[in-house]
Amino acid sequence: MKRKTLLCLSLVAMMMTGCADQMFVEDVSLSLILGLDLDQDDHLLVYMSSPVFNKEAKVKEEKVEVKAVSIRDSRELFDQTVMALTSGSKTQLLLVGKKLLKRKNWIDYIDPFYRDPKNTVTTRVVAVDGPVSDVIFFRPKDKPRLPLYLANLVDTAYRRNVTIKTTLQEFHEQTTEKGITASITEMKKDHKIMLTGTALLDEQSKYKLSITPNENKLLRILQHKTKGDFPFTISVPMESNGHDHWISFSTPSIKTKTRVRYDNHFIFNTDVKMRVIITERLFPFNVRRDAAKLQKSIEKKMQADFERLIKKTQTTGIDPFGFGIYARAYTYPEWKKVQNQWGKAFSKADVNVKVHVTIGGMGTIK
Amino acid sequence: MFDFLKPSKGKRSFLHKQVSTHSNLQKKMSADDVLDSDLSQNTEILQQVFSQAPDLVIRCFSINASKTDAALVYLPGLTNKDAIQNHVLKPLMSSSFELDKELPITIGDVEVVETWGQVESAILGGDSVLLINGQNTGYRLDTKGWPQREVSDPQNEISLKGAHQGFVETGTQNIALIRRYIPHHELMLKEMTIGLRGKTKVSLLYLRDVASDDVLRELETRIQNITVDAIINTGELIEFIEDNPYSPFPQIMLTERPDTAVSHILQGRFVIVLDRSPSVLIAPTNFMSFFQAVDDYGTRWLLSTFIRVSRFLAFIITLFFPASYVAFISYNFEVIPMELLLSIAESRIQVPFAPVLEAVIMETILELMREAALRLPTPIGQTIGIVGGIIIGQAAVAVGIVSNIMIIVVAVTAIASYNIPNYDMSSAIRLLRFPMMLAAAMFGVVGIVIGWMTIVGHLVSLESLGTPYGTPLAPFRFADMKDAFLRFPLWTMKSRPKGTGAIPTIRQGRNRTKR
Repeated sequence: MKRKTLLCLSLVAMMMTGCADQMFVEDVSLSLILGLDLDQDDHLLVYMSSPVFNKEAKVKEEKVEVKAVSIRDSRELFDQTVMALTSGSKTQLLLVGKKLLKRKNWIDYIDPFYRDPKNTVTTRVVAVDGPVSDVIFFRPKDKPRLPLYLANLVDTAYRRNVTIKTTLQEFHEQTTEKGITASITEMKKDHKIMLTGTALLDEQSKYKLSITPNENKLLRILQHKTKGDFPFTISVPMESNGHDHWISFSTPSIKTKTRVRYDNHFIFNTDVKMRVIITERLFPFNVRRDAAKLQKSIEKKMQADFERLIKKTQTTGIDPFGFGIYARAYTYPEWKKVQNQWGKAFSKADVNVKVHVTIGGMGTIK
Repeated sequence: MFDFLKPSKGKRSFLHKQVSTHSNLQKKMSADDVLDSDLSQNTEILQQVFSQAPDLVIRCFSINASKTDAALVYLPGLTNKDAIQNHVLKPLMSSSFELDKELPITIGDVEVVETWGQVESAILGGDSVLLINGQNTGYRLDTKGWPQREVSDPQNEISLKGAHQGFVETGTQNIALIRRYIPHHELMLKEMTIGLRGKTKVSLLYLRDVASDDVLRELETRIQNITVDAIINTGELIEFIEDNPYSPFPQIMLTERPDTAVSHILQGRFVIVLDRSPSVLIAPTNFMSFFQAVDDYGTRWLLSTFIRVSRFLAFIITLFFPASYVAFISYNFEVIPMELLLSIAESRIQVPFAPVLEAVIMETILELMREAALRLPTPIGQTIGIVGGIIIGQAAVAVGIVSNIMIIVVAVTAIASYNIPNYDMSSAIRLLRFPMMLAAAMFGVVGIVIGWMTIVGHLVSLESLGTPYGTPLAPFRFADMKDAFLRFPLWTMKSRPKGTGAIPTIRQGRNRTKR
């Protein structure tokens, strides 16, 4: 009897500990987009876009701008105005204004995403060319709610390698890893929202360079991340009549191999093997007979593109490709000396890219 | 405690007591008293004994040849009229024979009775008793013929490929249905009687050379220890003999299919046939056997494996789906994909109740509807579905009592729970989902884990007639796993399940060798 009473009492006591941390889904204001920017006086501005579920609301989205000292501080300010409790657990996008990106130590602001496990780290990090408020207060009529639209836009563009997709988790890795510098999605709003390519940051995570969607594909190949589609449309130099020779091809298989050696400076030899399938050709050409010729000209063009991109990054002293990781793996003693100024060392390195193209198919017509 | 009921002490049945108090003759009659040789004396006593049974027939006649007086006593409702008229009365009255020779009765089962106790139980049991003047013994003639149902399709255990014969309310018939499958001398039949007033015959069927002696002894002791008025159906018997009556899980299986019963006998289990019950008991069982159906063995093994797996999925869904809904909505909404989260939140915001209350309301309504549909006659029962479908499905959402997503949760849970082939097991799981929802409401996902661990711990410690209930998982028996989550091809299941304590474990030779 005594045991039973004790059991009942302990059960009741156990139940009383429950329910404390309940948070119903309808009582949450999900900050699906969080925006960070600076105003004219260099004060931090935090933006939030959260969905409104109530049927009576005409507009299904709450968008708030506050002036705060940090993200966590902004939550208090959001809670003062939005309907429910602000939560960062489902944040889809983190928009960072270019103005803030150019400032030193801006990544200290995203500390709560890493520190507080209630927040998610699958948030996509996006650089905004121009003020963040332009993007966040944009209400396109022909699109679903903005967070869904933007998240989808980034995800699908990433599949075709129009831009890069960096989640906060990956961003953390890229910023702390010495052998690589960070690269994030870049977005711009004129009259509509456009993905303009990829923003490249330096070792202090400051904005350095923007690259176009085409260059982004080359970046991905050099990063050895050859998943997804790599559709190219290039103009190949042919000796016949003067005008442009446009050709498009898809690449079902790309294999990249990087080798490194040290000879007073780092020398990287990267082999890119591509099997291409022609999807479009705007000039007469007998592929069956002259495949080798076409392969050669594509190789030449691609190789030039690769070299241009590498040069561009070397002059700004960044290594978004992760060559440093190879340097550390194979030439550790030399790497050790320069690991804290890898950008500088990389700008002096020789990077030789060799492209091997095999035409695997010319389409269903001759 | 039950001393007042024990016949050994009172030395008389209740019926006798009534007779003696009500009759003018203060003669005390006991079950062991022998019959008188005087017929008129005997009929008088019979009339006293059965004074509360006006339907008793005492047919007095004289046996043709010797002109001896005789009486045939029976209860008309329990006897076969045809047998009495054509096979007892007719030959006795028309033919001539010597009294000291065999009687010309064309009935198979004839037995000499000597005491009043035997006479009484024979008459009440549907036999007729022939008393002849000048003899101090009577004859019990097997003329049983009470109203009986035809052997028909089992009502509650539908099967596509199994036999279409289900058990009926007569114990001997049910035993016969089982014997048809195992016409073997090792099929043992042990009979016992329980119930002091409604004497019920309990028959234990098992394979003597296979079934475990320990389990048999345990089972016999448990049945013999029952002292009650009467056992009306098999479910009552289970409550008296099962190991843990406080557990939500059934530890003894009920079936109304002879083929299921036989398959378990062949695995070394015991079947308990209770007279007057249309279902039999199978013991000992384990948790897994409640997820096996007779169709599994008649269907191609790939398909039945798939179905078997889907049943366990149904078990998981029934137990966890409403609880997970509550946990996710009230604590861990982060785990829901974003698009789904938005639509859930949209439908949830109209509902003024907490998620757990909403879930309990809907699940309770479902149980009410199920019970209502079960109790109503079939033609009206269908309207329950329509009313439930329209009112609960549409109006409740429109008004904002429950959310859309909750309807889906309830519907999926209901369908899943009906996927479990055994009614008792499916009810047990349906019952358990309520405490699970409560745990989820209080502690979120952690609560679900606590609930599940409690259930697993309980299942593992449970026993059925002293054999482990959790086998083949705990204690783990690798060979028995062939017929647990998956149904291996029949020819690979060479041994009987070990969990039952069966003795010769090999049950088949090398079938399907290379050909």
